[in-house]
Amino acid sequence: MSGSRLSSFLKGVAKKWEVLYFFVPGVLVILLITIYPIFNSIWLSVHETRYLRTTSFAGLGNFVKFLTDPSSLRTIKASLIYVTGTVALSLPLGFILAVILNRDLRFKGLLRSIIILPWIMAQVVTALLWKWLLDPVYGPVAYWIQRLGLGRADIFGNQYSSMFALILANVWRCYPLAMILILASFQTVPGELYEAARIDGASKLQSFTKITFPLIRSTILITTILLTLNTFNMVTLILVLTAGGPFGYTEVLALRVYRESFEIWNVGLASAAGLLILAFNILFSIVYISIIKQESLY
Amino acid sequence: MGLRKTKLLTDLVCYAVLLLMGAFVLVPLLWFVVTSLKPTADILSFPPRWIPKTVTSRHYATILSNPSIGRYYLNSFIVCLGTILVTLLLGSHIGYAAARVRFRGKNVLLFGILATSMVPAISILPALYIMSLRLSLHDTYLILILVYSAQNIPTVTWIMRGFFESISPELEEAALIDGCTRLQTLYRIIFPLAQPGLASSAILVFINVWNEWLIAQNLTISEHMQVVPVGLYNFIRDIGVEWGSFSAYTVVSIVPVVVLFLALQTRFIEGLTAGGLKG
Repeated sequence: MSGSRLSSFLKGVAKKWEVLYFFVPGVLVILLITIYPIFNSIWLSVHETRYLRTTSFAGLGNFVKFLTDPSSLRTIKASLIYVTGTVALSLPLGFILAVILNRDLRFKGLLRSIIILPWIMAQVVTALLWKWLLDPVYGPVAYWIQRLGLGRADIFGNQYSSMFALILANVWRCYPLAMILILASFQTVPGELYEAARIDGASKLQSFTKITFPLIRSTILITTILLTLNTFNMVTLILVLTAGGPFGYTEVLALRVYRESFEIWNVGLASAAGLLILAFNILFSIVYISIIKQESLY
Repeated sequence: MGLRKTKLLTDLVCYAVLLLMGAFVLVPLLWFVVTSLKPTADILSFPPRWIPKTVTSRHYATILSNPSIGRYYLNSFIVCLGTILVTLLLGSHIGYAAARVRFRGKNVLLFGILATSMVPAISILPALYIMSLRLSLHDTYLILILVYSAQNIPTVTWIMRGFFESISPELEEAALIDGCTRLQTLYRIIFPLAQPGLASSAILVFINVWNEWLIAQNLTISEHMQVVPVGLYNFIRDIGVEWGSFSAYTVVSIVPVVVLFLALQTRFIEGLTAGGLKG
């Protein structure tokens, strides 16, 4: 009897106007702020622009111009290095820490809080912390390097060390996300599975590779995608820490789009390059959403 | 005996790794805090000194007595609270319908909403800038709140959907028998039960918005509209880095998020995982 009462309730709620009441306001905001600007960007990207005005139709001219310019290819290369470096360091780091924090340890709560701290810092703040720590004149790191007899270290004056510093600062910021997500997925693995495996005589390593890993595989994939996109789309940290220097070696694609828009005011070209970033995101998001869809079937 | 020894050894290795990571996290932060407490002459000393000869609160006094910094704080709080209000209200309504109502096209709509959270700000920023000018919303709280809301509604929707699904529908039914209307039931019974979800959403949105720089920098322009990160950025751009007062300002700027995080850590982590992982 409660079932029929319930289903009639649900049917009632399903009345069209009620669905609209729940969805329309939020969807409107998203349509106005997220969807409409995408179309506007497409419009801008196929036009020549002067300051904020479109002057003439350019077809795919902006895309061609951007993709054939050697300096923009360099920004794509810088993005790839930045993303690869960040993911390659923060994912294993987050994983190891998740494994450790999944154990019974004393002071676990405190240690976990400290380890998550970088994730709640603003990118501006993170960039400034590292800029000052790595300062070539007054910073302690430059001093330690000098003490080791490696000479005066101008970390931001060299393309390799500059990129490395950028990756380091970003790893500092990103690994807590990997850790939190992976740790959460460990906790979804039912304990009885381990118990059963133990009784069946499986070693710890075996129960990890045969039970834990298959169950958290999709989380690792999701984490990789989130870290990749987060890093690929990043402007703020890079702008404040290296500003793309030295000589544009750390100017990643997203920073280039920012400069093209708000420093050079070349809005058409910037929108074209921005859409390339969007395309990259869409590709990864399709994978992301299909994983989440699969998971939600369980 | 052997087993115990192995456990002890593993524990030791674990602690060693955690201590190392703790140092990695804390060294940049401590160096900033130490700097903010040194007299200017000591800041520019070589070799760098971790333990200051004299400790001064002068930089903090300079920063806290600066009226424009108070204004940046006020702006940040207004934008954060405004965004929290809008996202929680709109996101939880979508989340509720997503958890309870069946209708055609629901999944497409939901995953469509989730997908919009993956649109990077930098891709649409020039278009947003132009739109804010056309709508005469440039340099207002409203445009910041709108943009941040659009960015955060999908996550909040996702978190809230999970919470509503975990609440038994029988409660709603009982309330209906008692003569409540459907919306009364939602507002009086379901929302109060969903408080943990609302808290998770709120802290997540607060931290996102408090830390955001890119959009705030470009959609506002006047001095009195600057939020905290914009103020920080302009400080170095306009004055150059005067590390003493600057580090004090930075430390002051991270206090709200750190306090909130420490107070509501569990909720924060719940929100982060529900927003990123679950279907």
